[in-house]
Amino acid sequence: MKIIILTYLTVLSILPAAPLNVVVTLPDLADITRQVGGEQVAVFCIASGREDPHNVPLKPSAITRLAQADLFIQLGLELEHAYAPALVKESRNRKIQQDGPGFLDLSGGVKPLQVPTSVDRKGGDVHPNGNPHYNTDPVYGQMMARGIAAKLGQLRPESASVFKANADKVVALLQGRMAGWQAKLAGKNIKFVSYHADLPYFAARFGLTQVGTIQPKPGIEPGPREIEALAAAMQQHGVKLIVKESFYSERIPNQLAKMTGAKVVNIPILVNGTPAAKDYVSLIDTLVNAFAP
Amino acid sequence: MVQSNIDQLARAYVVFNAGSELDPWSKTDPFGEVSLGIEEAAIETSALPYGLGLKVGQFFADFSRLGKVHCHELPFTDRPASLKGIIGGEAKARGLELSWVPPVDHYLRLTLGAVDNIGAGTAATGVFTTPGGDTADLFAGDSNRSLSDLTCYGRAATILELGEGTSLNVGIDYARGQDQGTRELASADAKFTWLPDAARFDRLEIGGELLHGKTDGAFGPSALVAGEATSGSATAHGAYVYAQYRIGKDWEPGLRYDWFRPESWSQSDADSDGIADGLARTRQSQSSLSAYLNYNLSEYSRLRLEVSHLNGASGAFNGKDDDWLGFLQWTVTMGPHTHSFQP
Repeated sequence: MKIIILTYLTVLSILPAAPLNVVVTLPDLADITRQVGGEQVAVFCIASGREDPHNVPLKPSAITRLAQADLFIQLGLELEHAYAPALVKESRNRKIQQDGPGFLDLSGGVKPLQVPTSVDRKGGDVHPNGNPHYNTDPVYGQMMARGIAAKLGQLRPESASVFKANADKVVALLQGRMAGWQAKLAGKNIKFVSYHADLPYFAARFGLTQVGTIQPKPGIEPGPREIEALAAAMQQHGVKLIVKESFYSERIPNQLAKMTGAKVVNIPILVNGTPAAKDYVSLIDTLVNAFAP
Repeated sequence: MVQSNIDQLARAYVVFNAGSELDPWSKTDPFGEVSLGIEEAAIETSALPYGLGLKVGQFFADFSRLGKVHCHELPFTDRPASLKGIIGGEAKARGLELSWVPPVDHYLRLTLGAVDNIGAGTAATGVFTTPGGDTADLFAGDSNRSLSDLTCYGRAATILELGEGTSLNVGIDYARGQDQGTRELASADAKFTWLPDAARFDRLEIGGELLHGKTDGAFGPSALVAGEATSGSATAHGAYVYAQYRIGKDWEPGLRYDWFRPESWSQSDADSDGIADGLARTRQSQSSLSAYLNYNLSEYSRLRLEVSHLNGASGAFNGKDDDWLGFLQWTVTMGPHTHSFQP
């Protein structure tokens, strides 16, 4: 009998542990989590990456995955506030509720940009804690990898060193590519306009100058006067580039391009936003190439 | 809505409602009387194990597809007559509600509740008409209520993901309790959603619901006629269906058809002596066809225009068999924009 029990325990100790079920909001987080967690994680991503990250459909399949999740990861700064809280709540999974052991908001180490001085709706659809699109800054990509490794290590301490080593590889990869990205964009004095204010972290990291946004305030579409004012500002500052996030209409960017002679470039702001942005590194590659083809 | 987290897994919330009917032809006060009331005041927790959730207080019961939806969140400006007549407006209730989302691979939500009543009670079917055309309560009712008079209800709802961007919500409901008599409600609903392209905001939504209501009880003293039945039942049937298409971020046109057939009782006076001498069931169908257009000024502000053509019988609309209604509505959401998940 003792032999049977010992054999059973030995077999159990040899068998690999079942993967941790991880649900993430955005494909950027899915890619980094897979790299850090390796075979020890099974990742489900709520957003496809092609939609507006503020407006992701509430899918029931996400709830069933959340109900069985060991870990839920979000970018935070209220980027996902229109859908993630409702899905997490409906999952009834106590582990992943906010402040639970399986809840991870990666924005803790971010120095937020564009923090509003007041949060009334005169400013449009403002995020009270600052602009949430820090995923476009590859330095914050490194921070995300480390944050995910730390949380996975808490949930599975026996593999903490593996997760840390995998995160170090992601960090090394991003650091290795950084010099090339900076060299491509450095000294070009690039000025641009985007549809929505989703590139301040990218612009700050690579020294780009954002002259304005087509939306005069977050989430508010421009009227004719605002389009004319933006066109005048673009001409005054010599802006030759309009970047249009892949889920926005081409109508106003094309109108502005006709008025100013600037070029319109379609960009992803998330992994899978365009076919070229198939993972986190290629997302940053695609963004860099959009500004310096 | 004002809400506060009690702890990590429980919250208390209160939903206020402020409203006024606008009368543009009034010379004195075009906004009439402004009303302010509490729509919901409840505590809910997800601290229970096995995917259970509990809500206690005053809330919109998880009953029917649009009965539990606040006015400003309806797809159209007004609640369909079938919903108003059978459920009695919003599915407002006071009591407790237990819901269960089983931890399985297919999403399913089962709800059971025990409450004082659902909506405004036997609103449409609980009236009778005198020979003079006056209306009064049909059923005797009982002002003293006991625990056995509670309304118990259940709902089973699921969502089928038919493909990328295509889903079908279905739900069935049943309720039984004491109101003015024994009241039964049943409904079945469905909603089809299609997102043609994840990278666009376009969205097709087709929804509908079948509703049934019945009240059975002793007639009140005003309805009694010598030699006639002293008790009986009154039923109502209804259905609505709507289709709308969101074009980009801003525009959303839609169409809605609503049909409602309440059944009640009326007294007759065959010998015209001023004294009722008969009691008979009455049925009056009415329907409406509505066209509406929603325009999103921003994520938090929306303008809605709706025109409805109503059809009835026997001069249901101030002596006419049909009528027109127009609505212009501006909805504004204050505070953070969050969606609740409603299967």
